[in-house]
Amino acid sequence: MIERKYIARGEWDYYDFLINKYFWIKHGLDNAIGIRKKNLIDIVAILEENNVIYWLQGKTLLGVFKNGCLIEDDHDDDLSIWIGQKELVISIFQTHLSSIGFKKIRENEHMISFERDFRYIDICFFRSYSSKIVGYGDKRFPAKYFNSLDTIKFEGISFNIPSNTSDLLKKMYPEYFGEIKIRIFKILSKFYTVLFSPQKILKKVLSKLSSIMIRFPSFINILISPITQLFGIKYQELSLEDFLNLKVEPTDSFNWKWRARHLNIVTNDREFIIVKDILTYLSSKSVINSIENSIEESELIIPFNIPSNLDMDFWWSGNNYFWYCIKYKFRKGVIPYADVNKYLINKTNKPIPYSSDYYDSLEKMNEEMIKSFLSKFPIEITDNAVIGGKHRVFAMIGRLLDEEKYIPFKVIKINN
Amino acid sequence: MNNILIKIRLAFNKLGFDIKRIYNLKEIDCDKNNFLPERERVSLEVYSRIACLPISKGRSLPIHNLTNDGYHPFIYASTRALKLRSEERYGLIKKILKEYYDLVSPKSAGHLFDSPKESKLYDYPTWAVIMPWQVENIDFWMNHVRETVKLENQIKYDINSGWAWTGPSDQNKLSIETKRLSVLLDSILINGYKRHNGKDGDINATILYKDNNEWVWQASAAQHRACVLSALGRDSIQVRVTKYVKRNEVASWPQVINGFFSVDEALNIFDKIFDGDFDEVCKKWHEYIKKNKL
Repeated sequence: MIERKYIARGEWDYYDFLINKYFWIKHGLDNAIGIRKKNLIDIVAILEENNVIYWLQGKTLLGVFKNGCLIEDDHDDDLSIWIGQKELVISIFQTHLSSIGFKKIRENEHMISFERDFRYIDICFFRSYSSKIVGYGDKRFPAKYFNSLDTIKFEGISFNIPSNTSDLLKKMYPEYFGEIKIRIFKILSKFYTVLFSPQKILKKVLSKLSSIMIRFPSFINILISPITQLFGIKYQELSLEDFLNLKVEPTDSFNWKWRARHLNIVTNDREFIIVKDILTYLSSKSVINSIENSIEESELIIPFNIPSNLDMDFWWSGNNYFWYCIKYKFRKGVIPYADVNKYLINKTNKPIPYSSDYYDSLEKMNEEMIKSFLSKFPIEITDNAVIGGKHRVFAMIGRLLDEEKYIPFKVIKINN
Repeated sequence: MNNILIKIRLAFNKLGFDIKRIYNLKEIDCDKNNFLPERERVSLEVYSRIACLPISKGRSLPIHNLTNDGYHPFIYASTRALKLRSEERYGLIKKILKEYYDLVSPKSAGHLFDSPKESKLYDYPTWAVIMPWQVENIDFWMNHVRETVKLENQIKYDINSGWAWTGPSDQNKLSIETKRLSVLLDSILINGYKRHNGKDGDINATILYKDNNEWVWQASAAQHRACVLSALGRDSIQVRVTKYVKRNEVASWPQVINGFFSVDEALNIFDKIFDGDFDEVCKKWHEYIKKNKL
């Protein structure tokens, strides 16, 4: 069992699923096979014991049927049941599955997911959409494959599978069967959907608008702001008063879980999340001393082979990131997280990124530099909470703590 | 139309009243010790209420429990049928229901509840059985059952072909009940259970309340649905509570007041249903199940 520093509590967030995916890519997908098999066998045994009609689904079905094994790079395993037995499965979780270590990590109208040893199984709720079509979520299948079930032996155990699975899989995964024509048809149908859904396109563009505006020069943002305001996005300068009343993180943000170590140390375990409260909290020398004593610098030594932002070691091997922003304030040439790998690859006798030595090695920014920097890179705010540019916000908190002048941020304010 | 409704509502508001759609009323909270406050209980006389009730406290009409480890023939047949491929289910359900109708064929409504000798129920066929708390008189009730059964049987066959809940039953009724149950089982399995606020949209339930806060519920309509949901492994079901019967109010039950039942006889029926005690009439059926672990 690979040791994990981060354990998600309760139902999983969108990011928890990504973290899980990258965790196994990093630690070896082959190391998960044993866990996946055991999870599958244990859940199926309990479903059968409780008279639940289930069958293998998705890539789990594909792997077992076509190759007699689980597909290594599949991030989850899939089973399906009929919607009429959904409540039974929920009750089985309480009576059976939880006692053998499974946790419910997702439940919605389309599926329920159970996790054990950091691998999870989706149980999809199939329902009938017409006499000939069944499916779950936005996936549809011909009903004929599911009216009766066949079985297949895997790991010495009999598993239910749809009837005529070979035919069904060719339709579901043509790319695995060399059916190029179907593949091209699939691509074309996706293209058609995008082309003839202008509303979808508009929605997508609007959702990206704020991230596009961040890249624009200040004068363009000033020019387009009256138009973007119509879509709830406003470009403006942030006054000192507004800055002091800003939350450093939205209260329901996933970062409170994922970046907990770094955020908790500067917010006293989420007690102070508004800038002015953090300033008051950090104005005490004893608090600063206590933080300094409990700081652990992150061990960023070897390059990450996955997005560093989703790597457990990146966020859970230390707690210094935000505190050091406060302590060292604005420095020239701090590498963004996205480029930390490049730094680590090219690092020869350079300090560990974001360590005290690292910040000491960087030149301090003067007022003019900061002003120009903040004007070039606006921060993002929604519901009066920072969603982009937290490090700059903490650096400004550092300035104010040292009784230095507030330099106004440029902000992109997004109204939900 | 909406404007008129809004004006009516405002007029009532001014008088201190509020108008709400019945199906917007809060569900009954059956976790409360008293199950239903007296004030709300009275309201059931005017409008029914939705509640999510545990299967373990469910009783069928007229006999059997709704638990899926019990002896209800419909639940027993459905539970076993689920283990088979869908095309094989019909045959098994038919086989089980046939056994049940052959083995549980009380001669009269009196035999059904093993009533005292002097009971008037012995003068009526099994299907005419009436609950002591029902308001309808026996003749009205018999007509109602005849009409309902005819509808169930697609007008082709009348009550003489048989009754769903006990035998005897001829081949026609057996086929109709088998088809009904297997189609419903498949439908709820693949579509889920979808109740609604319209006509026949719910499983209707009567609460039977004993002293010391003990209670059970008895399905009074859409019993097939209740059976299938139990077979599919539900712990609880959303039902529409239409009546609330208290044991200690036996003297005021309609069939006791009109003299059809004596107080003792009425209480005997209440207790048998409450305790799920139908051993006498179902003896052979219980033995059959124990012998034939299907």
